Amino acid sequence: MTTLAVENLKKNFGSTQVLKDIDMEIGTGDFLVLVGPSGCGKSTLLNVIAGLEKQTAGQVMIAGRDVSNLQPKERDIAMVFQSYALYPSMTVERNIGFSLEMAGVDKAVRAERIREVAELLKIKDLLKRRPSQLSGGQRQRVAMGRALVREPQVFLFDEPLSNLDAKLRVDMRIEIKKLHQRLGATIVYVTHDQIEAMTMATKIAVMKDGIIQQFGGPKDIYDRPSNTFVATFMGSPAMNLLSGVARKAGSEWVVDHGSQQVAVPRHIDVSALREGQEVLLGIRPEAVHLTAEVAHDDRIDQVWEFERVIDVTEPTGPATLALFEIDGTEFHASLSGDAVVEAGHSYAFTADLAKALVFDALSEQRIAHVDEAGASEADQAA
Amino acid sequence: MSVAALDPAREGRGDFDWSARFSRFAVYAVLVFAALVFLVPLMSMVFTSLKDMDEIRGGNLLAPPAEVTFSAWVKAWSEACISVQCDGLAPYFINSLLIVVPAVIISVGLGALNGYVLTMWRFPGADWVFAGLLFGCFIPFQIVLIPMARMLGIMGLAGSIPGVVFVHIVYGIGFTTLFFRNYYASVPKELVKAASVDGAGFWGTWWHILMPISWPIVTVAVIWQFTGVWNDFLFGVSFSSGGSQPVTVALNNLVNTSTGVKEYNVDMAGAMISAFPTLFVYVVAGRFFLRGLMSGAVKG
Repeated sequence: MTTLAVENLKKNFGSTQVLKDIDMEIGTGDFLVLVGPSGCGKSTLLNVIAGLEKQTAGQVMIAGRDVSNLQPKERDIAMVFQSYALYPSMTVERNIGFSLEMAGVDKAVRAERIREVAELLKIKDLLKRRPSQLSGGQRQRVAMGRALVREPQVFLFDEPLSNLDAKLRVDMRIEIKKLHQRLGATIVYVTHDQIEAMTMATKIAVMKDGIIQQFGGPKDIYDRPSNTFVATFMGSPAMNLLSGVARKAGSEWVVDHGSQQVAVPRHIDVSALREGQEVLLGIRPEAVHLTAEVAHDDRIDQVWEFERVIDVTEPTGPATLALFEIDGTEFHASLSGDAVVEAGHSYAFTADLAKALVFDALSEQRIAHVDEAGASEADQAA
Repeated sequence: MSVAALDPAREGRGDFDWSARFSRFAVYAVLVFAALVFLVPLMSMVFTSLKDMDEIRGGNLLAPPAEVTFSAWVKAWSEACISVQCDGLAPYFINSLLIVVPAVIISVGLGALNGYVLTMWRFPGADWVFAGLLFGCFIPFQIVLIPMARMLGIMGLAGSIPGVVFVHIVYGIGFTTLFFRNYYASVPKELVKAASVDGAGFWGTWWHILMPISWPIVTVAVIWQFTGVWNDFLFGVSFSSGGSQPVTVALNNLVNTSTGVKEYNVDMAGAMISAFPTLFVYVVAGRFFLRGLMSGAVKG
């Protein structure tokens, strides 16, 4: 069932178009993450859904009800803010119960609901304290408690973890995910952190310049990004993009990038390619291995082998990142943590092309895969 | 000097820094002198008010009273003749209270409301409204006397306590708005958004969320307004008459009476009675006053 739908939504601040024609839909229990660089409009979109900003055009539907012109309190939503926005003068208890207090809920019922939420979030001991006496993680929990107590149709999270330190952020990430699984709540979550997006979402909307670049499941977004922006934004280190020219060598298509030619992976629909077309070959860092380590791995089907001198290595523990250059383009490889590599030395690399992508250099759109070919032809016809 | 103080080689050797010592001494000397400049006249006032006229005529202005008597205080409070009435300052003191209490409460309340709207519910032209209010702070009182007198006449408030209250409210709003606007500018907007999601409306947000964290700036605004209104002479003398005059005007009439013997002890006692409320407010709220002034700079 569709719980939240946004239709033809536009938002201008003066003459600046912040949101241009946003269309999306999520069902009950979905965890939608709006992700994008700062200034992409994701927070504005959340504020419009909440009713804190008025849209210039378009509709917001919550649980089948047009809420476009309703006040935030009438929309059946709850929001968790980046700064938590706990009321400084009130105890934790009153903070959590404030929305019920405003709604005129009976005091005994209120106390019961607060108790339930406090138990769920394990903050029962904090109820009598004030926000200034809490740690960052505790404030975060209280802010979530304030949202949970209302039992809304949709929870809105505005970068709720960005004020926490790295370790706590990972803990809270898991906690929010657990809560989502347990309550089956519908959540819209804004973040600029692509790892948060990948780890928590059931649906991701990648935004840039007020436009949703791609909307889909995390795996879709990661494996089949619709354009180079999504491809490089999701994943760290970012996907390597090698520019080259599409050429037909006999019956096989290759990407010719000057010094070398790389076969176009078999899963790419070559019928969309033209001889001489400028393209970008996208290879994720984790698809690049030391040849010495994969020599006997026959699971790898189509490969590209090359030799390069490593400029910089970054051991992270589980992986060792190697940076080198290919024809003036920086290229990252995420090698195994045990790989023994040294900057300044040359190594043989094998890139697994099983998940490699090809983009049109001009439009920056991804060339369709064979299994999507029908769809892409229909698109072109349209 | 600062170079010497920072020199690590000198530090810890037990060297005595004479120049630092001397400047410290000079600072204190200046401070003590300044304190004396303010305290000596006050001391003289207190001493004089506790003497009888014989001793004043015969003695030293700075000498403590040989025999302490409170009769001048009693006279100033309830017996001294001001124009034709001989009830002392008491009725005028009460007038001043009747002026200052509503004037302070209303101007601070409106200032808080203005500050709230100008920061959290911004509307087109809000900056111009604020600029206008700010401009109002800097209009000299004398300029508005005649137009204001005409206004009060039209409103039927001329020569009455409500008239004086009205003038003080109008003049106070500019300052109190400035205080509250600057204070609320440092309050995160997300608080108001959160309250709005939680179902609090315009007034609910103000009352439940903002006012409880506004006490430092409320203290500042109250002290500012209280001293301003209580000590005001010009509006009092211009817009009140006879029975509605504030204590400052009555004190002037008391001291400037040209008939009979000049009773310095009664004058001094009257001056201190008139000054007492502002002193009281400072002593009670002074700590909060400083904290309120600082809270704009140090967030939270």
